[in-house]
Amino acid sequence: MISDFLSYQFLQNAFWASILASVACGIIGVIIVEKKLVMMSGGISHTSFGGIGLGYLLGIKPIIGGLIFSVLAAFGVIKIKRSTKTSEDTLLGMMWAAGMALGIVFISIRSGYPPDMTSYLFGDILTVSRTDLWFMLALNIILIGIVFLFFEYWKAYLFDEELLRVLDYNIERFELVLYLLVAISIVVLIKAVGIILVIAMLTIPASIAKMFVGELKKLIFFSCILGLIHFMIGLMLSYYVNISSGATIILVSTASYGFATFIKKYFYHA
Amino acid sequence: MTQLELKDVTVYYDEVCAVKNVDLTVSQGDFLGIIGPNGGGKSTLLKTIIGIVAPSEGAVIKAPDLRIGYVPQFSSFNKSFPISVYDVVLMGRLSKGIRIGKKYKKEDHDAVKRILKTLSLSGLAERHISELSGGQLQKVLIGRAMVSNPNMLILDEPTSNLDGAARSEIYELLKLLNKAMTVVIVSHDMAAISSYVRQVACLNETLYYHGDTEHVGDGIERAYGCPVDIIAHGKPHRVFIEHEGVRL
Repeated sequence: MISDFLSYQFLQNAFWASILASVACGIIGVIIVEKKLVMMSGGISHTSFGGIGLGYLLGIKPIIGGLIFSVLAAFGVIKIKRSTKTSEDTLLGMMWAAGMALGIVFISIRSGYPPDMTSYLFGDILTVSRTDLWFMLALNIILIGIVFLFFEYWKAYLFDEELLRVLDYNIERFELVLYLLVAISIVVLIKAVGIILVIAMLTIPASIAKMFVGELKKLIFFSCILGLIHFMIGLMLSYYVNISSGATIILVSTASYGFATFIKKYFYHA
Repeated sequence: MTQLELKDVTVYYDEVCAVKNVDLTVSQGDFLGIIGPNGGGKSTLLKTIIGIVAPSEGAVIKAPDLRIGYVPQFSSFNKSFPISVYDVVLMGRLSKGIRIGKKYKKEDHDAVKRILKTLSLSGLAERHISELSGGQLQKVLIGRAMVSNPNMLILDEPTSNLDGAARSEIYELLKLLNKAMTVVIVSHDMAAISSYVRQVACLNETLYYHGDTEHVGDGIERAYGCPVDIIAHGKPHRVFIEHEGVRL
């Protein structure tokens, strides 16, 4: 694989995409696991499918459509949650289904040969282009900047938002920024692991790291590393066995979670 | 000296009235227990005092030098969060206003070490919070509130998850802290609270009694709508009153 890696651009791209996706997974994954926003992330990622369909329909880059839809979904959840009494859970269920349906509708009203949507559903890291990489890098920089420049505040927000309320911070603003970060990260991850599997990628490395690490920064760091390891192993397996890379990466992560649970139970005593 | 004054405070959540026409004064050095049945508006009143909930009517007047240290209910924060005792207390040094790239200063760290020592928690500083007992965790939260150097400590149901021994330890600690600052506790655990607090406010939507613990009897009954046991502070005697149709 090493010689292939050096000679094929798409393998190098896949490698860089793995790194960028792992970093986004590590940071946002830890946050959504701690704030119990896994369902919300699922809702946002599936809503973005509508935007991808719209992208194809309008002839713009589908990922841009996906970004717009996921950001709108994040805004929408917050807005509707605050102005009505509907629970967030119910709203997400609706957006989840409606987003997928919109995507299908947009693609079917588009004339011509239908595009292969499986790469957006299950991800195909081997088709990541240079432009995609720059796009992912930019989103990663935004993500890292916002999380780490305000790290102490995020920590307090995740642990006990009432403390920030007492200090007169605008909690709604924290919530809004966080939802936007989740939306952005999901778009970063869609190309690599796909809409359906993005949730596993966000939650599995973070949950494994949480078994062994008790400090937020370390937890984020280990989640990034674990994510990268899962990507590398999954990528190699899919390359040699010639199966879907996204699905392989997720199965590797799931197996790794099972393995970690076993280690934790029988061999690791903190 | 009056530190805090509620003037005719009423709080509505949408259509529901949680707190009605409450007048309450808290003076320097008070040890006030706000008691009342569940759903009687205790937590709402507390949230109004600390400024999380705005009163629908009336006013909350705070002395200019009032610095509140707030200890939340156990249910309000993430107990499995990856954080050490030290970092929880350090969080109490956060002040108003967001600063980019915020780092804690040496004086913040010094204050944390001092508080941990005062509360005999130094040995637990590196411990993860999920490894603490209920009493230890409560002390850590009190430490977090104290590290900002408050002159009024406000606690929401501080002993609801604790066993008897831990409970009295926390009350003894509060009694000690009361020498240096005002303490306000919200609790439905009247038996325990009434042997420590010196002032009591009985709340069930509106305030039924506010004053010294000696004269409280009737106010509690009206707040709860039925007779209640009281343990007067300092005196280990129980006052049993018969409930209608029920022999106690």
